[in-house]
Amino acid sequence: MISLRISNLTVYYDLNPILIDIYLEFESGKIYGIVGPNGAGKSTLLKSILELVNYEEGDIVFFENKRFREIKEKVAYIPQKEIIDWDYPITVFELVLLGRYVHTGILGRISKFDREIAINALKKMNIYELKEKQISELSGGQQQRALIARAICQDAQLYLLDEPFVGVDIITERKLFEIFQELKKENKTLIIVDHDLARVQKYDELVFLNRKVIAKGKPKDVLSSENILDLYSEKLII
Amino acid sequence: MIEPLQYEFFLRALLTSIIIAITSSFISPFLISKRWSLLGDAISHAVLPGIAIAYILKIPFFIGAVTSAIITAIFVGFIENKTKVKGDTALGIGLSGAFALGIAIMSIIRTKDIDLYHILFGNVLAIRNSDVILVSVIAFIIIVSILALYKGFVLWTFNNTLFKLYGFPDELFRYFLIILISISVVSAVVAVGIVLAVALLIIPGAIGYLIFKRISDIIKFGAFISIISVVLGLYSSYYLNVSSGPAIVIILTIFFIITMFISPKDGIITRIIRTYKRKKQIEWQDKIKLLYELSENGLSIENIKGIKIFEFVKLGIIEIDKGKIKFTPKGKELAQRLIIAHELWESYLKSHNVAEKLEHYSDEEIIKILNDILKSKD
Repeated sequence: MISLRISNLTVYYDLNPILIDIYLEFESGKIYGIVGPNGAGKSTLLKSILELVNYEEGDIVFFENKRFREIKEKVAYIPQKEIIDWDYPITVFELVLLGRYVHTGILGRISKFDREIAINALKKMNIYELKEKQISELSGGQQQRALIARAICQDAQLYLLDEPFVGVDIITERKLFEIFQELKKENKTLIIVDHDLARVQKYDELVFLNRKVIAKGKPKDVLSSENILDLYSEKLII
Repeated sequence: MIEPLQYEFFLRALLTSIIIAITSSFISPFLISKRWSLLGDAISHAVLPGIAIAYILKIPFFIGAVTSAIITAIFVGFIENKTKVKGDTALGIGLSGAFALGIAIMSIIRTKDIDLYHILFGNVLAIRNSDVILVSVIAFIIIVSILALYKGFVLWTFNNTLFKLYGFPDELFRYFLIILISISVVSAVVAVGIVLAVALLIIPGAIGYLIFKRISDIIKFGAFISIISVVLGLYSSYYLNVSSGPAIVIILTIFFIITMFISPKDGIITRIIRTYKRKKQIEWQDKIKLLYELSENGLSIENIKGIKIFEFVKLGIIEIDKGKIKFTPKGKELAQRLIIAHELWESYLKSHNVAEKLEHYSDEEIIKILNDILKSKD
């Protein structure tokens, strides 16, 4: 099934084009890597999908024909770790439970059922023992897992991850990929923004993005010196 | 202790201050987590022109105070959003501009009806019945709003993006929180005056931040510590003849300083103790490893000098049987884990010294993954 279809997307910031005429389709049960240099518009692409930025032109639909507002609980955004206030007084359990808020609303009560879902998400991410810790006490890898647990708790189908490997050691990176593989088995769609070529082989599908889509497809098809030069070249032919 | 309670003015001051203390504690953690302390300060200074204008227009002071507080908050937000000036500068401009305007108007009208000193530094002992009602109404609004929208305020202050993604009203919450801050400032001004109002709004939360890991606990403890502070402040004002506002704020500050040192979560002394314990633990682990390596070569108790054997026995690391040292299963597991971790790190990083350090931080999980990585390298 197609989880997300982006067609004809163009985004400007002031008068500069950040994304130009993007056509992309993402299927469920796959891990996608969106790779490109800094300033290539990767985060902007995620933000456009999430309607956090306005786009001049284009169309973004989820699960065949739904708008973001209609299926917002099915889409989880896992932002770059740095933008989270890790000193905020909140426990790991409460952080994960935030994922239920999209279902209960602000005024609704958190039920026993919601708590159970949160506990299952914690167990799945192997951080159940840490549930009463304050989030500031977690290591980098545990923080990342807590954020993913929140997305699982939300019961998302489509995961958008912005640079999950930044500031993460190689051990944690492996762990994260194991987690992604598990989610993939459950037929989730994972779209991972990555600035580095080091991990490209691990994705099912790659999108080389530098304001435009430079190449897309399986890693073995996309990885060519021509494409890589295109991707990292300063000059962009519009 | 009982003597001042005979006076109606003292009782009234006590009751009002306690209500204000509780009210401020409900706002405090949100103000701090949003890094809006300076906004609280700007809003409290903006109360002054409001009071002055209200006097000229002959409307209740409260309405003037809240109106000018909100106008200032919006003005500051406008500067921040529409210009290149950063938030702290915008707040500085709003704060000093509003305060100057207030002082200027006061100096023109020169009335005896408003005591500038009391507005600036508070005089809760001279409180009127109308103030008690005002403070109670504000307390009711704030406490009910925070309790009803608690989840929303936590999500909004913790992760604004998620709040928006979940389709909740971002702008509405921003302005609602600003309004709640504005009215809580007005009530804090009654107790400690304009200049010190921000203390009542930030110190209780700051103390809680150092101790607790949940907003709800910070609110509860903040209320507790502020009530103690206002009571102590009023008594010291009565007996020592200190101004009540400064007395309250000094006591709160003292509580903060004490917490900073002895907080079990993150106090300075706690951190020193923790570092010391960690160092000791590493020393112990090194000794255990050494002992284990020696005991593998058939070491007996007579050969050991300088290591307090009985302490290892006490910890359940070793047993002594007929003069022979034997590791307990627990001791064996620990020693072997250290040795394996060391070997793995050394072959991974090619550095003995680094491995010597990292072995102390490696649990089963790290060892397993490290092992996998090394295997896949071969």
